[in-house]
Order: sequence, then C-alpha cells, then structure tokens
Amino acid sequence: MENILENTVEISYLTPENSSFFVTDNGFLMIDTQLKAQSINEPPKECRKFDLNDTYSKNNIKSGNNGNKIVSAVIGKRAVHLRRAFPFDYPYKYISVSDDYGEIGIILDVDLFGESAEYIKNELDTKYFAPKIIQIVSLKERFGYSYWKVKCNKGDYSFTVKDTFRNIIHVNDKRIFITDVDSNRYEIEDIYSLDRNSFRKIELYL
Amino acid sequence: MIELEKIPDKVLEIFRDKGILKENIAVCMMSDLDTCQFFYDNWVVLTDNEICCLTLTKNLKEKPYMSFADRFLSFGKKLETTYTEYNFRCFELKKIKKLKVEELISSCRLVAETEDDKEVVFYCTFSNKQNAFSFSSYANNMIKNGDIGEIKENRNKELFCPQCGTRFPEPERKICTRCMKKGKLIARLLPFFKRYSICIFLLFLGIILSTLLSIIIPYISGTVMYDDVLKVGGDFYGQLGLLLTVMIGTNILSSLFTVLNGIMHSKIAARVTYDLKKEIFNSIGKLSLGFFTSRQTGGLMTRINNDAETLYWFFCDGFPYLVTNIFQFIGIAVLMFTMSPILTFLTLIPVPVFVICYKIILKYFRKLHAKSFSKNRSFNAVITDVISGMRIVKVFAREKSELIRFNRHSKSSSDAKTSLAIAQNSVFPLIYYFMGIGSYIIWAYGGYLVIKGKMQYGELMTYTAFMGMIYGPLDFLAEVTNWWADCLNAVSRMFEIMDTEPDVKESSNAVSIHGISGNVEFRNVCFSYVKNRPVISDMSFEIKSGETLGIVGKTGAGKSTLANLLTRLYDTDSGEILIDGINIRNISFADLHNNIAIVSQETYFFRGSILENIRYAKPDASYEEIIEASKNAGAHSFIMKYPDGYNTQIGFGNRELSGGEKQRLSIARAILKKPKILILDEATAAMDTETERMIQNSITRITKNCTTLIIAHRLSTLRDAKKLIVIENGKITECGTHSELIAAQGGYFKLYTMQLEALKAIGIE
Repeated sequence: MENILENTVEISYLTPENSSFFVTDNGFLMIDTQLKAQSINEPPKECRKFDLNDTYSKNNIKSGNNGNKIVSAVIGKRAVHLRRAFPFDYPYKYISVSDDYGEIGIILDVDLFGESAEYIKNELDTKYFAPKIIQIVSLKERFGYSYWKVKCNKGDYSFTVKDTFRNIIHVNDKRIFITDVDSNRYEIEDIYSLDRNSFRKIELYL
Repeated sequence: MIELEKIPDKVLEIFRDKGILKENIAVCMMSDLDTCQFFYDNWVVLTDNEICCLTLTKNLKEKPYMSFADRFLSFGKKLETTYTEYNFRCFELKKIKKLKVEELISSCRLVAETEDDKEVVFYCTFSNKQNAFSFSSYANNMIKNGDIGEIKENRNKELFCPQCGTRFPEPERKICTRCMKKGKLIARLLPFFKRYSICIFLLFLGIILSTLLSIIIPYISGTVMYDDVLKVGGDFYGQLGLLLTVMIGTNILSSLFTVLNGIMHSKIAARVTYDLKKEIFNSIGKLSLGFFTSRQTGGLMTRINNDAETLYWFFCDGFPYLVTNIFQFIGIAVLMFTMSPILTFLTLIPVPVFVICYKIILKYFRKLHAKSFSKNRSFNAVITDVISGMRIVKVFAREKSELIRFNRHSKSSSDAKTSLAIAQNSVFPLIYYFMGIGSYIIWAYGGYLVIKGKMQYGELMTYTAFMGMIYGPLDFLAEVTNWWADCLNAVSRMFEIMDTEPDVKESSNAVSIHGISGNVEFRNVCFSYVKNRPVISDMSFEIKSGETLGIVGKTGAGKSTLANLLTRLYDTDSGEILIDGINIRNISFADLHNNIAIVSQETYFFRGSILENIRYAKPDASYEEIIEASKNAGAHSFIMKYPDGYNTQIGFGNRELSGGEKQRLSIARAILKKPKILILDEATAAMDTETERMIQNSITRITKNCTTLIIAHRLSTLRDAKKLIVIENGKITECGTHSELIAAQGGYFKLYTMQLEALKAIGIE
C-alpha cells in the first residue's frame, strides 16, 4: 500500500519546464508531461481498458501481489481537463489540470506557457462559458420570475430567472453573475459601465 | 421523425436542398450555440448514416422594435421568419464509436469519439441539455444497432406554453406567467371568502353607509351651517342646537360604522389568511422530498408567511380603503357637480396630473425602499452570522475585522435609510405645496363667485373640505396598482405550492399490511436524482427477515440513496423494491413508515424537550418505554446528567448537543418504534468505538427479529453484519461474508487493509 498521505499534500506545479500543452486537430487540449496524476487509487473503468493498448501507459501496468493487473496513472501525452481554482478572482491563474486519473498539478499562471497559453485560455473560456451581457433590452418581472432580453458578446438571447434577487451573485462591487432557471450563467463585468437604460432596469435587483 | 424540438418547414427545406429528406430524418433537435459558442439556431438531425448540423441565422421579417404605425400596418399579416445558412457540417456514423454529452460548467457539448480522436458535434446551453442527452442516446443506439431503439417520452416538449411559446419557468407547474389570467387567480381565491359571504355583504353595506356619512358631515358643517343656520333668512336660521345634535349624531354614527367595519374586515382577512396558510401547509406536507432539495427552500416557510401577510394587509387595509375611497370619490364628485359644474371641473382637472406625478415619484421611492430594505437585510444577516459564529471569531482572533465588517454594513444600511428619509422629507412637502396651488385656484374662482353672489359662502367651505377628501387618498390610489401586483404575486406563489404534484404518490389501491416479517428485496433497481445521471444502476440484492446487511462504499457511491429508496422518500426510475414480496409502491405510506425506522447521517431535532423528540416516533409511548429505548441507545446516561433530565429543552436556539449525543438520541427515537426494518445510515460515525460497540450490542439484542441495514465506511461498524455488499458508482461490485470478501482480495480487502494499516500506523493492532 502506497503511503496515501504523502502523495496528496504536496502541490505539484506545472511549468513550461516540466510539461507542454498542444491541441489536437479537432481542438482538444492535450498535455505532454512526465508528471503523473496524484492520489487516485483506482482509475475509471473505461480508461483501464483503453490504456492496455496505449503505448504511453504500457510501462505503467504492473502485477499486483495477487496476480491482478494494477494500472497506475499514465505519463506522456494525454487529454486533460482544466478547472479554475478561483474562477471569480483569477480566470487564468491557479488552474488545476487533471487527466482521467486525477489532478496532475496546478498552473500558477497560464501566461507562463507563452505560445500555448492561447490554447489553455481557449479551453478555459469554452468550459466556463458565460455570455457577457452588454445591454439589457428588456427586463420584466411577472409573478416572481424575471424575463430578460439581452445583448451579449455572444449574440442576443433571452432567459428567465427565478427568485431574481437570490440568483444574482455579487463577485465584487461591480461584477455580477446571473443564474437562470436552467442554471445557465451570464456575467455583467461592470454594472456601472452599462448604458443608463440597462442600468435602470437592473438597479432594483442590486 | 422524433422532433425533440419542432422543426420549421423552412429549415426542412434547407435540409432537403442538402439532400437530406424529411423521411430520412430519425431525430432532430436544436442546439442554441454554434461551434464558437455564439448564439445561433443550430439544427441537428440524425439519419441512418450520419449526423448533420445546420447553423442558421434567423431573420424575422418583423422589425425587432416595431413602431405603432408598423404594427398597425402589419396587423393581420402573418410575420415570416427566413433563415440563412451559416454553417453546415456532417459526421458519418460509421466513423463514430460513441457519442457522449460532456457537461461543462454552464453549458454542455456532444462529443463524438472516433477510433483515435474525438470531435465536438455541437455545443448547447443547459436549456437544451435534456434534448442533448436524448439525442445522444438515440444516436448511440443507431450506431450500435442501426435503429434508434425504444422511443422515450419527450418531456421537453411540454416545457413551452402552447399559446405564446414562452418557456414555463417551472417544469412541474405548467403555468405561463404571460398567459395566466389574473382574473383566474382571484377566482381561485374566492372560495376562501365564500364561507364569510354574509360578513362580506355586511361589510360592504357598512362601507357604503359610513362613506355617505363622511360626505354628509362636511356638507352639514359647511353649506348647512353657514347658509342655512348662521345666515339671516336661512331655512334653519338660529337653530344652532338642532345643528349641533345632527352633527354630533352623524359623527357618532360614522365612527360607529368605522369601528364595526374595522372589526368585520379584520376578522374576515385574518380568517381567510389562516385558511390559506392551513391549506398551503397541508400541501407542503404532501410534497415529496425532491421538491425541497430541488429548489432553494431557504426560507420557504418565511416566504409563505410573508405572502400570507401581504394578502392579509391588502384585504385588511388596502381593499376596504380602496372601496371606501372609490365610493367617496364618486359620491363627492356627483354632489360637487350639482353644486357648481365649473368649479368641480377646476377641482378635478389636476387629479390625473397628480396621479401620474405620484406614480413616477412612488416608483422612485420603491427603488429607495427596496435598497434600504436589502441593505438592512444584509446588515441583519451579518449580525446573526457573527453572533452564531462567535466561537470561531474568537478562536481566530478576528474581532477587529468583524467589527469593521459590521461597521461597513451598518453604515451602508444607515446611508440607505438616510437617503430615503431625505427624499421623503423633501419630495412630499413639495407635492403638498403643488396640491395647494389647486386650492388657490378654488379660493380665487370660488371667492370671485361668492363676491358676485353666484355662490353661497357655505358652499365654498364645503367645496374646500371636499377637495381635501379627494386629494388626500391620491397617493394611495397611485400606489394601489403596485400593491395589487404584489398581492397577485403572493397569490400566485402560494398557488404554486398548492399546484405542485408530488413525485412520490401513494397508490390509490394501496394495501395495508399487518405484521410484516421483513424480507426486503431490491430487484434491478435504477435511480437518478438528475435525469441521465444514474446514482443506482441495475442493483439487485435480498435480505431475509431478521438478517443484518452491511453496505460499504466510498462517499457518493449511492449508499444513502438505497435508504431513501427503501423509505420511499424517492421512487425508483425502474425496477422494484419488495417487502415480503409486495412492491413498496403498493403499500400504504402509513404501513410502510410504521415498519421502517431510519437513523440517518443528518440528525434533526425539533424545538422541544428530549422527551418530546424521542416520543416523536411513537406518540403513545409510555415513560418506561422511552427510558428503555434511551438506555439501549446509550443516551440515558447523558440525558440524566442534565438538570432537567428528559425535560431538557433542545433544538434550534436551545441547548446544543454534541454530534455523538445527537446520534444516540436519534437511535433512541428509531428503536422506540420497534420497527421491523431498521436502517442505520452512518448512525454511529460520530461516536468513539467503545460507545459504538456498546450501542451495537444493545441494538442487536433488541432488534433480534428485525431486518437491519447498516451503512458505513468504518468497517468496525459492520462487524455484526452477516452479509456485506460493496457499492461502487451505483453498482454492487462485491457481495458475501467478511471472510469471503477478504479472500477475494478486491475493493473490500483493500479497504480493510487500509484501515488496518491506519491502526498499525498509530501503534494499535
């Protein structure tokens, strides 16, 4: 039995020295690193099957004392998932990078990665999709639900918010996130830079 | 063709031009994002051999903001939508191994996994998540079997209002707020008033009479007083005594009516809101647990209370005042008109102007009020937060920063109040001043008429008194629409709860079973809290009457869910759960819950004494039974340490019990019922091992004939379990006795060695 505690407490940082990022032809973010995912006892079943044919992970299969094959985490090139540790404070800093086995490490600042920083940022923006509202065309309250028609950086959209007051998260004095009935999220970066009419519509909920 | 969303003919035409005929489309849906996650109409179709995505830009022939003239001209013409192709992509099914919906933070995407790579088929917002899941499952069937397989019920279709196409905000409650008839809401309220119809009739009669009197009083003290009594040659010249008697009489009558009306409508309003609250609490009790976990129930009851309060004030305060004022307004206007039409005209002209002014000003005040209210609310929240967390504040020595936080909130709350008060004190005197201008006109013109002898002096006095009565309630009349809207909101929210259908319903032909023996069987049970995210998949196991089954698994493996299913807090998606061979769906709630007791991870106690809380399970339990149950649960000794013994008050705001004490109490509560089936869901996790063992021994003793399910991750808890099952990701991975599982060297063995290692590490073996 590996020592469980030691593996988990130390933060491993991903830097351009120990890892690099690239994207596949179809735009999926991949990592190339010798670092392993930490602290996962059992890989997900789907991966186990997949890995046996995978050249990168052949050296990671060893025999357990009872003859069972035990697969430890892979190294080399593989797909990764990103997560923001502080999504409201730092969209491109403190990014947790994990593969199918668990967290590989943390990127302190995406910009460290120079050219591939763009890929990472793209991937993060896709994952944390939240249209930025630039204008509120109409905002009507009917029987406890508010109906919004907005212009966003992603196009025009309309949505419904229940219990509006509670579903607006104030990140700081000027930045808010709105969550609609389907739990989609919309952001207003600076409520004070909205035009006067839009601001007046939303003012009551702030 | 399965239309997960109704596909317009125009879009089908574009598909036809691409060579995809309507007959070949098996499933279609719309995702609302393009590949760069911009909002577009992106139609996705599944045919026998490919998936095609057509991204369109939609042009409404209608201008987005039509002027009145435009609307008038286009009236009756059907507005057409045209589509322009923006992007078209196809994916061959034979290249795809599998399709998967990936959920991102607040959007999702359908990903096609090919032999050596993967590719995004489309992105969509969470609004289309359900459709994406259905589409992917149909498409996966098509890839595997060349057929879309079993057609599932499409719930998404019912999410839109058939009349206006707006989405229903609440899927369980198919009411469109746009098409909802306000009249219907009120009509639903009427039955609550019906039983008080005589009272209401009397109330209206009273209102009319007191209004009449209140109109007569200024007439007597004006026209009659000056023109008939004080004036030489008047009809009642010199009869001061008679006048005074009449004046005092009408005043007394008027006050009497006001008092009687007040009593009457307070009674009716209070009773009606009481009835409403009772009805709502009744329907809340019937709702299944899913209702409370699926939405923010924080302050559900507070909200209902507030809503009922809003209704109460409207009916008690607002409504009678409104009726009185309307009657009064009409009465006075008629009377004034008969006295002098021109002067009446002059008096009434400013009325609409003032109403509009009031509307604008009150809107502004509503904002200020809301601001002040919300600041005050967050200020109160900070206070409660800090005071209940005082221990933590002190431990981390954060008193100073808390003081700063307190000051900040206190200041912004007081600032908001100040600006409200300043606005109130500057705007309203200004308005009253402008209203005064109206009376100057009357004085001027009326005075002119009196001098010219065209009008009596007394009439002028009556006029000015009437004017005050007309202008006085204007602010109320301007606000009444808002008040009315609030009231309707409250009503609709209250009906929302009454209208929600419980997910778990008692079967109409439920059987009652007496003296069950306690055989439990799970047969191919599948369950998910959120659709398409299975928590339990195809699980089957059996426990014989009187046996003990241990359930082991990681956090989130679905252990507690099994307990929720067995107690019917939720219903299974498919498969069945049988007790003594009877599907639990066919057992009446009362019988089911009388025979099953559960001690869950979360212990909750109501405000009251320990005695009342233990007795909650069996209200007719004797004192001896309660002490016996507490002794068996190991609770008796600590209860006796409290000066008030079993009468010690616990629960919110009273004595705090420790984690272990709470668990022991909840065990006592469960075993008091002497259930046939006992579920211990991490029931002893907060106790030391010795106490745990002691309690287990007594539980084993008293539950000899009782089927027991023990859920735990600490294996020592399960030492009495004859049979063990190990659950992982909602499936049973191992099953057997302790020694069998050790021999198998699987997950259980690993867990066992790990816990053993941990003991070794601190020197215990």
